[in-house]
Amino acid sequence: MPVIVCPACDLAHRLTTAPASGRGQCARCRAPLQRRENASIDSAIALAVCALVLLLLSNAYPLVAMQVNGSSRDTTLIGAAVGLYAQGFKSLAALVFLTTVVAPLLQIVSLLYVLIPLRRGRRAFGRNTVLRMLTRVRPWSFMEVFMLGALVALVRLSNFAHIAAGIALWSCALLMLCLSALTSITSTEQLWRWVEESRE
Amino acid sequence: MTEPPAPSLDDLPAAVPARSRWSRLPLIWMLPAVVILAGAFVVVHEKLAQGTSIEILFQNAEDLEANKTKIRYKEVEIGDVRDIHVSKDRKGVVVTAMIHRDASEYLVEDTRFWVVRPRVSAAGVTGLGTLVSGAYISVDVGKSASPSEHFVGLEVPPIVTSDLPGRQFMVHADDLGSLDIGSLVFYRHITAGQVVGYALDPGGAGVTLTIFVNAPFDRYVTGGTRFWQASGIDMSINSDGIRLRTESLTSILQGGVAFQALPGSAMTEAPRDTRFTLYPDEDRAMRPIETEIRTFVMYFNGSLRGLSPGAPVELHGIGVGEVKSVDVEYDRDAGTLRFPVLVDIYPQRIRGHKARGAQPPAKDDPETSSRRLVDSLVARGLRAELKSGNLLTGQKYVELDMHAEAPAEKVWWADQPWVFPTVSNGLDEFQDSMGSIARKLNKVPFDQISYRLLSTMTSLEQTLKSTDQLMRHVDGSVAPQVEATLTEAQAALKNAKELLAQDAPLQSDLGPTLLQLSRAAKAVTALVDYLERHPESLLRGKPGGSP
Amino acid sequence: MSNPATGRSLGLLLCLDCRATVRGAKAAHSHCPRCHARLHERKPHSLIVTTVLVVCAALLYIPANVLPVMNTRTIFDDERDTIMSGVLVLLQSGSWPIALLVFVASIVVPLLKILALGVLLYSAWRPSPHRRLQRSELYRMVEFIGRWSMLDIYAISLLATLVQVQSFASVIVGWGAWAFAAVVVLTLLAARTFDERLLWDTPQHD
Repeated sequence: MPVIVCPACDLAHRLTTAPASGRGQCARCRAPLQRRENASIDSAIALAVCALVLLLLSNAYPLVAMQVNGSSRDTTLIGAAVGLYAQGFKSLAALVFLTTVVAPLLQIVSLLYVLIPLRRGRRAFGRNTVLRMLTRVRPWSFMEVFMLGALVALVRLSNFAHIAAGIALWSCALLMLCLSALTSITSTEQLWRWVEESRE
Repeated sequence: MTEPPAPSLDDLPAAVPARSRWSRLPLIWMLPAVVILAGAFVVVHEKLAQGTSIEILFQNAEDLEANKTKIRYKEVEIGDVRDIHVSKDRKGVVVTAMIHRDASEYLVEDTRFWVVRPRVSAAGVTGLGTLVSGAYISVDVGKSASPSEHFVGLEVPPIVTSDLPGRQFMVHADDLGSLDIGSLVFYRHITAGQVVGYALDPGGAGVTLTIFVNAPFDRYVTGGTRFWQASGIDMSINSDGIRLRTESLTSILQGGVAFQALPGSAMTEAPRDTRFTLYPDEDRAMRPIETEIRTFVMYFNGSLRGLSPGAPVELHGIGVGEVKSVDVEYDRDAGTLRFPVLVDIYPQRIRGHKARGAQPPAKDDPETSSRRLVDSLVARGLRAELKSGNLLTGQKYVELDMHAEAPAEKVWWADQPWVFPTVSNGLDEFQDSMGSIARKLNKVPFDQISYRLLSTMTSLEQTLKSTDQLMRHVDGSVAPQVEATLTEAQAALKNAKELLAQDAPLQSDLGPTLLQLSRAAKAVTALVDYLERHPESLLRGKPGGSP
Repeated sequence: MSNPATGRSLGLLLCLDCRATVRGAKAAHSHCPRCHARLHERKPHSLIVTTVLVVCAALLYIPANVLPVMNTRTIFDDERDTIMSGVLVLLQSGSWPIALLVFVASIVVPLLKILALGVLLYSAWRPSPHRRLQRSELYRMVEFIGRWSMLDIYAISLLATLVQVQSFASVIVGWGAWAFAAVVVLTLLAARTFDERLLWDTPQHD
């Protein structure tokens, strides 16, 4: 009899098919247990590709351009991290860089790295390690928090300067949506299910 | 007849699912497709809108910063500096800049770039705003039609930008004087332009200034316009006296050029880059062009010191000519030195003065008629005289005047150049006679005379001394005798008188009286005889006392 | 049932990396058959590590709010902003929703996290059968809101990079920002290292 254990309270449950809508909860602590996930690998790959393009756009072009006193300045996403680095806050710069560029990039790349061969029934080299890393890295991708933080910064800047949104700002917004969609269809359970399905 | 059995449902063929080519591709792939397309669009659009990359060569990168310094045209930002690095030949720095797309049309060959930073120059202090906003590169768009992407930046902001209305002219001068780039150009004391540049003439014979006259003043630069140096204070000391002129306070400090059209000259505007000459001062500049010039030579007797070329030739105080040069000539035949003074006479002026209100003379050959005029004047005593114009400075000038008492002379039309008769200066004559007197006086042997005089004086003095002594002696010794004699004589005479009186006992006393008288006379005679024989008794006295 | 069947009692382990339910020995060195990750019954040293992290975060919370996070220099003056004064500036400039957002995200949330984690740690040290559900939910909330505190850091990074206009204004990042980021990261790590199952573990071990 297949048994699953609640990750929150360690209660054992019988494995049943997940409800058609909503999610199965732990009987004791109401932690989410099961979810009907039937997304295809294709969707995941497609979304990952989208996210990759958007990520590249977000870093290639400036986020915002500020005009004040006759002079204008703009910055990219990486530029924001570099700005912190330039002021001597190396760890802060690393933090911003990791959470807004590295984590999403790793997330996307590792997904593609595993899923594309998986779709063809092949096993990517180091797949297990990559998937494990993915699970650990994903919680550190703060794209949506960054968007909100950028919004706050824009509001503060607009008080004394003229602000123009750059291309990267829009692509970051789209990336945020893309990544959250991607995260939701590539949950850990789903990924491993795909792995198991493809073996057969 | 039986019907065929109805087909059972089981016999029905099952629908064959159509394997559409498109079903293999889930709809989800539309999403990345769209995203990729959008991304490509964005990239292409950005690349197209990117603008042009240009390189500007400057001497150094002072105040310039990569990714910060902006490039502005008419204060509108049209680009920014992306990269700065030292040029390969190490003579400057290459500034790579990105110019916006819509400003790319400004990048032509003669477009100029310079760095705007606080600067102090002859034109004043500029660029103070950059202390707050940071230095930037300013642009002056050129008029050329060929585009360019490599420029050499200017180290100093240009005085005139291409779009400033006005016109450029070239003015040639002997030397730069106190002028410099930025010196002002004046028209009727109004600032009308600036000196934009200068260059030594090929061959080093002078300096050619490039000046820019702003609109609307450039309209007043015609073919007949004269330019002169209005630098500083124009002080002229000549036979007319001392004159002080200045254009403006600025020109005193930085020097300047002024211009004005000659009255009566053509009114057509001069095209750009017309060449003009820079005159040293207003007087010389505004001297009307003499169309007729007659050159004469004059020989003066006195010293020519104080007569300089340019000194005026005046007829009764009216300027009719100018001294051209003063030379030295060695007359081989006479074996003497002569000093010819070359003089330019402008007959126009004389004629002009004469013809006031009068009818023009008969249409003669003008040359002959003018010669005749001169001859008649000379015959009446017109002579040239060297006069002192200014005792203070010793400047001299040539004065033409009627001297009725002058010896008859003629203008030698045959000689080249024509010789004009001169008279000596009155002052000269005085000087001459003084000179001759002085010479005569010089001849007198004053020293000999004085020597003789001295010796004569000495002997005279001695004689006087002895005479004095003699007199004293006479006074002392002889004189009393004489006095006594005289008293006797007096008494005798009295007696004689008594005798000779009416009731004088003359007859009775006559005899004795006469006797007395003869005695007196004898005494005197004896005395005189004695004196004659013994003059030293005057001095020594009679030995033995009086008789 | 009085004694609910836990995975532990049944000898089932949950692989943390791949969420596989593994039947097997409780030996410390067993690996997940699916993903070869090391298996642990509970997160190793969860309580101690989490406690240390929370204590550090609590200590750093004070400088994070006292030290200025941002130093705005103009030609006229030199303005030092702490997180709180930044909120006030936003309020004064009229954008009160943003002010509220920053206030919640940067002041309320970190404090809440520290307090919540403190409560959770306490109940993990001394487990009590009451209100376990609430505590679980508390933990889930902590996990969920944790990341949003980072938004002020991102805002600061953008401001510090953009506002570098010569002789007009320049923004210098202060050490308050570093302390604040440290608080956020530490609480995030603390939430990760805390094994929420400890909340449901009864004192007696099977």
